[in-house]
Amino acid sequence: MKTLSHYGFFGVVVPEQFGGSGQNFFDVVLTVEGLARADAAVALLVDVHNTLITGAINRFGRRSQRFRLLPQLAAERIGAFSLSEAHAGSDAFALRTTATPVEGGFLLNGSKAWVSGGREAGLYLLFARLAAPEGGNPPDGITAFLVDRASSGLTVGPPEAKVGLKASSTTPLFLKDCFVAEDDVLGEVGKGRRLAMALLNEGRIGIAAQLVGIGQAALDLAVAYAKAREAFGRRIGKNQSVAFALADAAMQVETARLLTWNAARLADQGNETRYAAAMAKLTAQRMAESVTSLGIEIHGGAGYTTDCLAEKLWRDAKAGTIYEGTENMQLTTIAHGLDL
Amino acid sequence: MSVQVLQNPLAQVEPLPASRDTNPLSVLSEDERLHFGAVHQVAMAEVAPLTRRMEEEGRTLPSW
Repeated sequence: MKTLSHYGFFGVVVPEQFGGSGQNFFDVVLTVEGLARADAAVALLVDVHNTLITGAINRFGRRSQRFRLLPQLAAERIGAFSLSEAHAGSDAFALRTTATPVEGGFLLNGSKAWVSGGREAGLYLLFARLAAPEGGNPPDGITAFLVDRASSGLTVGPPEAKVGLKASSTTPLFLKDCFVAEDDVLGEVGKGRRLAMALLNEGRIGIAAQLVGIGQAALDLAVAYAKAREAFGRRIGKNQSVAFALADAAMQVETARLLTWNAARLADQGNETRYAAAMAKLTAQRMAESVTSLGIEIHGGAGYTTDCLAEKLWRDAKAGTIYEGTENMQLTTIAHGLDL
Repeated sequence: MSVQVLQNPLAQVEPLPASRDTNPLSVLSEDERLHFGAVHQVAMAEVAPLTRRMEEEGRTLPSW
C-alpha cells in the first residue's frame, strides 16, 4: 500500500488541490492496465479506489465530502465498493440491507458480500434500501452511504478463499444498527440506483483495462517462452501452429484494448458509455480467459504447475467473467441498445 | 480565356469535432505515454515482486 500511495496511484483522478494528480479517467485505465501486467489484484484495488470511490466522491459528493475525504483517499486510505449481497449479484438492486432514518442519520442493518479490498479498505461506498415505514410498503429508495471502517456496528467478515486475485481480499460486511450520519449520504437520499448505474459503466471499463493487462502479460510470457523453448530441433515459435495461435492472441488483446480505450475516451468526453463499456468488458473477459488459457498450453506441462506465472494469470482472469457483470449481463445491455 | 481555379476539396470540409480530432485510437499522447511507461516500470520493479510473495504465501494459508 505504501508503494502504491508513494507513486500516487490512489489519487489519479483526485484534483491537485486535494493532493491528487488531477488526471482523467483514461489515465486511470492506463494505470490499471499497467498494474495488471504485474498483478491483477493490485490493479483491481487501484481500479475500484479510483473509479468507484474517489471518482464517485469527486463527481457526486458534496463540497464538504470532497474537502474531508479526497485528501485522505489520495494518500493512504483505501476505498471499497459494496453493492452486492449474497442473494443479489447480477440482480444487484434486489439488495435487502436496510437504512432506517433516525435523528441525524440512518441505522444500517444487513449484510453485504463480495467486497473487493474489504479488509484493506478504510471507507466503504455502501448501498442500502430505505426501510419501509411502519405498516407501509418499502420504497425503492436505494441510497448510497459513505461508511467509515471504524463505524460502530460494522464488522468486516473473513476474506473469501478465492481461486485467484490473492493479493487483495474479498470480504463480506455485516451491519448491525450501524449509524451513518446524514452528511455521509452520497448524492441524494433514494437516488442511489442511478448513481450506482453511472458508476458501474466506468467500473466495467476499468475491469476491461485490468483484463487487457492480464491478457498482455500472458501473451508476453507465452511469446518469450515460444522464442526460448526448442522442440524437434527448432524453437517452437517457428512452428506455424504456435505462431498463428500467438498471432490470434495478439489480435484479441489489441481488439480488447482498443474497445477499452475508446470507451474510456468516450467517458472523458462526457458521452453515454453504457454500450461501449459493455462491449469493452465482454470482449476483454473473453480475450483474457482465452489468451491466459493459451498461455498455459504454450508452456506445456510447466504451464500447468503453480511454479509458472501462466497459471496465476489464468486464475486471475477467471474473475473477470463474473465481477462487474457476467457475460449474460453484458449481452443484455448490448441487446437493449439494439432496440429489438 | 478564363482560368478555372480548382478548390482544394479538403478546404470545404468542416473541421472535425474535438472528439474526432485526435490521433488514431492506438496512439497515446506524449503525456499518456509517459504516464503509462512510469506505471509499467513501477509495476514490474516494485509491485510484481511483492505480490508474487503474497501469492506464494496465500497458497499456504487456509484463506487469502
